[in-house]
Amino acid sequence: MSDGATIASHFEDAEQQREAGLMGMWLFLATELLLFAGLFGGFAIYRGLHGDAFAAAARHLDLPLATANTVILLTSGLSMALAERMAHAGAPQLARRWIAVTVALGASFLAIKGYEWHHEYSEGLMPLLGLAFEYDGPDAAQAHLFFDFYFAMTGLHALHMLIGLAALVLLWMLGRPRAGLQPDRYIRQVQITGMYWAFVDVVWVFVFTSLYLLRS
Amino acid sequence: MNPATRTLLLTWAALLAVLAMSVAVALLALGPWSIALNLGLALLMGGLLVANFMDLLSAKPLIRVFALGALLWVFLLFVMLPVDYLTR
Repeated sequence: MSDGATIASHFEDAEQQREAGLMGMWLFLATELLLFAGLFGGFAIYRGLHGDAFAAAARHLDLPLATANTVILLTSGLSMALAERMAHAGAPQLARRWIAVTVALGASFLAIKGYEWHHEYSEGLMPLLGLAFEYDGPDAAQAHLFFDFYFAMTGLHALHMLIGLAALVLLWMLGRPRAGLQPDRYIRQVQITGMYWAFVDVVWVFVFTSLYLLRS
Repeated sequence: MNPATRTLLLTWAALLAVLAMSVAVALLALGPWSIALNLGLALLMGGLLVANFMDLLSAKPLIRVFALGALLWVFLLFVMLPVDYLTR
């Protein structure tokens, strides 16, 4: 052991242990990227085949609300990065405050997303679980496909947000002053969770662009 | 202000600026140009997030190789997918 760090027996030193954790997370995120890339690939093909119908369907989405939500999510990316910075600077309690801010912003994002889904449900634009699809424009079949992609992409993203929020709440609890905190371990946990959270931001940027912005 | 914190704040400000540009491009409805510009701006935002919020800019070379590997597989996916449709 060096400088009080807890090092697992299969690592040479704390630095190697930290790097291995980061690499493991990158590898996991690579598989996540491919999961989302499959969806984006499918969307790109159908966007190419039914460009006008998809653009018209996109105009049924609430762009101002989604833009506000994007601002919230990008700001949560900043607050999580600041939490990492504080953890590195040896201030775990400040890190916990930024984690709490991140949780609040992430929960706000999901609440707004839920409101948006409810609005689409009440407009008859939710072709899920046998619900009627009441689209008032031309190319209703292609619009149906657009909304299938919309709910698959935003739903999968929201699921990742929920997992991220659960991890953040756990981090917040682990960082309590009396929780027997191991500083070096906590820094690694905050950094790895921060990477996941930023990845969720990256995915949203592309979800937002594909679904909301390609409207002409 | 700590330089690392300043970088994070500048990244955030840049992200919001690029987001504003993206929405403006979408609303201006420039046809095919909108798609190209919006995808380019999304890549720029993704790049900013990965570089500074995921710390790739300051990461060790081996970690960058892992990140590059992820991009390589996505690149292969997006190259091979249209090949199927274009050669039918």
